[in-house]
Amino acid sequence: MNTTIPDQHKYSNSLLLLLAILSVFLPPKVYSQNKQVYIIGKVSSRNGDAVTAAQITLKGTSYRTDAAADGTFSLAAPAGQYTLQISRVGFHTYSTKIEVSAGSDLRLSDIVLSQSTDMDEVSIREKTKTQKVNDQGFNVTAIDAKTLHNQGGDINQVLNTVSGVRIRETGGLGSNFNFSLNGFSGKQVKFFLDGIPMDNFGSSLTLNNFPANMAERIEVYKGVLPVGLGTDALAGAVNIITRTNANFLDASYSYGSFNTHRASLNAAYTNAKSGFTLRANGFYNFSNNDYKVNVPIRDANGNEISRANVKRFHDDYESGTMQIEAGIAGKKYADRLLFGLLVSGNDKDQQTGVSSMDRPFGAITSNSQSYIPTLKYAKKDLFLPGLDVSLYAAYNITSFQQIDTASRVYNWLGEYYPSSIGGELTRTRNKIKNKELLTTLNLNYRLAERQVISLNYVYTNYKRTGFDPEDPGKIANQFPTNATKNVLGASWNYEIKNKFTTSVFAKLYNYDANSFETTGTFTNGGVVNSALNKSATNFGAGFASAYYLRSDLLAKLSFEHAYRLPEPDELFGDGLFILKNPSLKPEKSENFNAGLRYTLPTSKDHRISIEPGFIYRATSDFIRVPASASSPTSSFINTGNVRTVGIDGEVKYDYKGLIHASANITWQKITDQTDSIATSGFTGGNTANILKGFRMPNIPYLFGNFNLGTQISGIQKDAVLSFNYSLSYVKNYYLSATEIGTLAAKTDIIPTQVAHNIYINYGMAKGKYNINLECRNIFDNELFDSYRMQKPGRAFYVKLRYFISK
Amino acid sequence: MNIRNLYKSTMLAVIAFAAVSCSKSNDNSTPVTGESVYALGIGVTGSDNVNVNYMVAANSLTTGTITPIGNGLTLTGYRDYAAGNKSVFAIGGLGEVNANGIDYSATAPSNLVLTGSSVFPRALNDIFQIDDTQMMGIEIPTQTVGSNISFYFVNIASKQITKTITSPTAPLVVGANDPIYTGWAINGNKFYLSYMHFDASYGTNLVDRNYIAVFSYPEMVFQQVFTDTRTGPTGAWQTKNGLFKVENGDIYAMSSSNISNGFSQSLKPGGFLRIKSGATTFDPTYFFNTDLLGGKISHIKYLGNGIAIAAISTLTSQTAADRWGDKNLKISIIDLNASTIKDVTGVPIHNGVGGRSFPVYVEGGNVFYPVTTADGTYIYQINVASLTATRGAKITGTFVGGIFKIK
Repeated sequence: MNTTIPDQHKYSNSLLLLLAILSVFLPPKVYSQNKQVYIIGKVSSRNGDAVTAAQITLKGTSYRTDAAADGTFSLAAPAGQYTLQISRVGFHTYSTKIEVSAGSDLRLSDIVLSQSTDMDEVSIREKTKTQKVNDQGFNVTAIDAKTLHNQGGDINQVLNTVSGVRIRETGGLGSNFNFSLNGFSGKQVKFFLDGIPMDNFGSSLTLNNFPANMAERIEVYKGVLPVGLGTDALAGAVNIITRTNANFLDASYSYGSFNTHRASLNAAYTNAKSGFTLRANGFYNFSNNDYKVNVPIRDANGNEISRANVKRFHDDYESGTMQIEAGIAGKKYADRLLFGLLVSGNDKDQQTGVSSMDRPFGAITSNSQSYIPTLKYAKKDLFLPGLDVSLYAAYNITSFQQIDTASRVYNWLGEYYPSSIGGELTRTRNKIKNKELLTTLNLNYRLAERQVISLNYVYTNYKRTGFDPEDPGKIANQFPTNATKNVLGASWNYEIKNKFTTSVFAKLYNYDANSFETTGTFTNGGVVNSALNKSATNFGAGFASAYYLRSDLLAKLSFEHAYRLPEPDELFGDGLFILKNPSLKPEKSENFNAGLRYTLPTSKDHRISIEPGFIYRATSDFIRVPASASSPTSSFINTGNVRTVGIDGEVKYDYKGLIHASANITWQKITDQTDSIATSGFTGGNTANILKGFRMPNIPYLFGNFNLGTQISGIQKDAVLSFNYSLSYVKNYYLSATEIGTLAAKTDIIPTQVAHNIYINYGMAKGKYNINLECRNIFDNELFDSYRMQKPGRAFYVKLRYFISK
Repeated sequence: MNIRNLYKSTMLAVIAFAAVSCSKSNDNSTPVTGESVYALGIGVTGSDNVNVNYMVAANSLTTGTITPIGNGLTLTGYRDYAAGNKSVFAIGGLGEVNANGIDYSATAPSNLVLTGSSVFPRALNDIFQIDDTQMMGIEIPTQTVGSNISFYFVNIASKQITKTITSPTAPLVVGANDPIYTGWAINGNKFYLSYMHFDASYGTNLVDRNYIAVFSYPEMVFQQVFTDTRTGPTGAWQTKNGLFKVENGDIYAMSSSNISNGFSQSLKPGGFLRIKSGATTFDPTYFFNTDLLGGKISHIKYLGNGIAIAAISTLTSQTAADRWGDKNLKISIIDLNASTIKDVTGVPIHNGVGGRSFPVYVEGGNVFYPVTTADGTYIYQINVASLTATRGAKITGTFVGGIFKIK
């Protein structure tokens, strides 16, 4: 029925299938639009830089588009006379009369926008990409990372200031962390890099390694995910969008306390004529992490002889990443076609276990390597006007090794005693290898002026193998697993500009997992390995709507019935200690969000916005190993009902762009709603849950951030001096249920944390050269957010940055 | 909305926020005074399947409700318990293995106070009192972890480790089968250690005989291993109570090769063997076959005068599906001299606390034993002489790991 697919193009079967599915949705109206022709052009600034994200509209019509990263745009419209209008924050609006004749595309000469001297006026009227994301019906916080490029931190530190988010670290640079979104964590929250799921990218490609300089924007979706991020996230996702400037160089180096070095290099080159594009992102992190901690000093017998503040002595962390992408941009067949390679690795010393600093380690180390070839393709108006296609593919090869071969017992003075066993914990040199193929296909089709339908398909295939030269027969390595996951999402989006937007979506989750099991060891029949397979399909659905009740009051509502699929390890166990449970169901959650945003243009000088939000989650069928002490074997089961009710609020204030302040606070009540507990062993069945109705322990429930900044210009030509102060607060909470045990005698408290940070930045030559001084935890407070794992005290950093954009 | 309205609504929101944020105090602890004070290790399992253990003081085991809600000492991680004089040692922890010493306190909010702790490099297999002033902790590593048994001497008063002695595991190892601790007994200058074997996949390949290792005491120098083929190995994984010494110095070894306590096969009948005082062989004249009389014994506690109390499986034939189950238990009184097993009436058929311990407390002619059924957890008072039991105090919790008298 649809004849617009040229035969000479070779596409995978799945693409054809999706197009076929798509074609079913196409109403007859589409065909009349085939008479449309293209208006093609490029927008740049006076100094020749491409102007990204400029809005191109035909005045008085609904025909509109955004300029691509390289400033190019193509806009389909029927023949006629129009006023073409181009607007962009920071530039004067440009308009010109054009005439479009039927049958041939209109190629405009390059359009130069002149910079606006009165930023204020424009920025009120126009929205940045970040603001646009925030305007969707989803409960999303989009952070414009550009404002953070001069600061020294990593993406985790940025995310930790988002309401609903708590990142709980066990130490300094490169330490383990737990990302908690509305109280959910682990596999329930998924992470994306430019829309590519990065679950298995390896431990050197995690948010505490990425410098903020790498990102253009960071989006945090809470509870409800657009189909474009196709994955089985139970509680939300974080999407890091890397920088899209066509030509730029951003190099920075920071040095600070605990011998911490961070270097980053981000650059892009696009040849305007040939369309050749080369992009590079690189970063390097190193730290001794030798901050002081308050710990017990033990003698050879393990007895505490004193308590002291000593430096950590075995906590070096080093990581490096290089990403190179090359390809073409702005071609007829591709707006962007990039081939890339991401190479990354880290080396880490392990000073302590994950939950206690009582006993240090002095020789345990780990390392990881990742090699990830990537392919990115995007084209607007492919085959038919209004059909936008993007395809991402990655194949990641990652390995992780843990090394523990020292027969020693260390104390916090770095002294050691010989040990009777082969390692500090368990002698190992176990190396785990993961291979994963990831493919994401996004199709957007503009049905009509206000309607867009989107299809998203994500395919992942994951394999895991392992080998330990110290224990060649290691049970967990004898059963390699692999799993295939298909997530298909479809959404219908309707938008009345500045009035109403809604997205209704459905998602189909399918997985197919394979492993082996050992049978016969429990009886006298001998060991038999047999193959295991499990596949299942689930459906989820939801919507997200935003409605301007008044021009200054936006209401948002969203809902999703979300799933997290079981992982192969959870379904099949490790072959012995964790037994299979093929009847395992996905974790599921009903996620509901409601929010308001009120912007108060009290006057041109003062701007205030207030954003209260409410969340509700009813989550059940958590995938967990039942508590057991009687047996070395167990299996994952679906257990537990949890209800989450949360409120958060954010207030922002800005005075003439000179002073800005913001504050947010999150309160959440996450309660156990489970009637009975399945225990294997203790009582061998179901017992009443005495914790029903109580808060789930070990989850922060009241926390907030405050930020105050000011800018002073005029010290020197084209220079800006800015000061920033930030405060983060987390109310104390307990590792176990607060209601159980005498509260006054409870020692498993994670105390209230208050950290004050200051940043001073001096930018010269319109931001070309920047010096940033940073002091974190000014008052040297003892900070803990993962039970007894003390975080760094007061720390100073200086960062130098060079940035040019053409 | 003007600024004033905005201010008002913001303040209202702040007040509402503050109101919901303040959690109500939930302190339930009432002073526990009087002549006798008991301490109970109560385990609470949440729907996140994390066990948290609480030590709760109580006056009575026979009436009322003993609850950790707003009451008791919170102990991190999973805990096993052992008594050392009037102190309770709670072994376990989170990320580390420590022995927390807990004592009675008239003034502490929960009437319990942590009086010291020592840290061990790895999990202990057991800790027990060896004389008036000392506890001993024992760790037998698997071959992939290490090659030496560690004996830790812990001072009861200071809770400190005073001495660590190691001895090679090699004499106890049989090929790829690792020795697994099942019990201990001391008689004079000999330390008897009973053990079984697991292979790397927890299979029990060596169930055709009973193994006992002998060490010099208190030097803990390995002397010999002796075996007997009338039964399988003594005890079971994690039950810790395979050996016990009676008044005349004889040591009894209980064997059951019980599948529901973790054996993967069973080749010999269950029963008791005897080591005559000072001997380093089993007494060939004594074998009490318990399979014929009562079933497979899961847990046992010696009470005195040849009498022991035991939890015995009522499953007549155990299959692989019952493995690790520690289930369908009845309570019986065993007379080692008369070779009789008599069932106690009044205790429902129940499951064990995961085979880890037999959390009984003995006082006078009564044994106090916690049982969890669908009705909840209750302490049963078992009268040994009359073979009857009555239901006593109710426990709010998932299981009871130990009962001790601390005052």
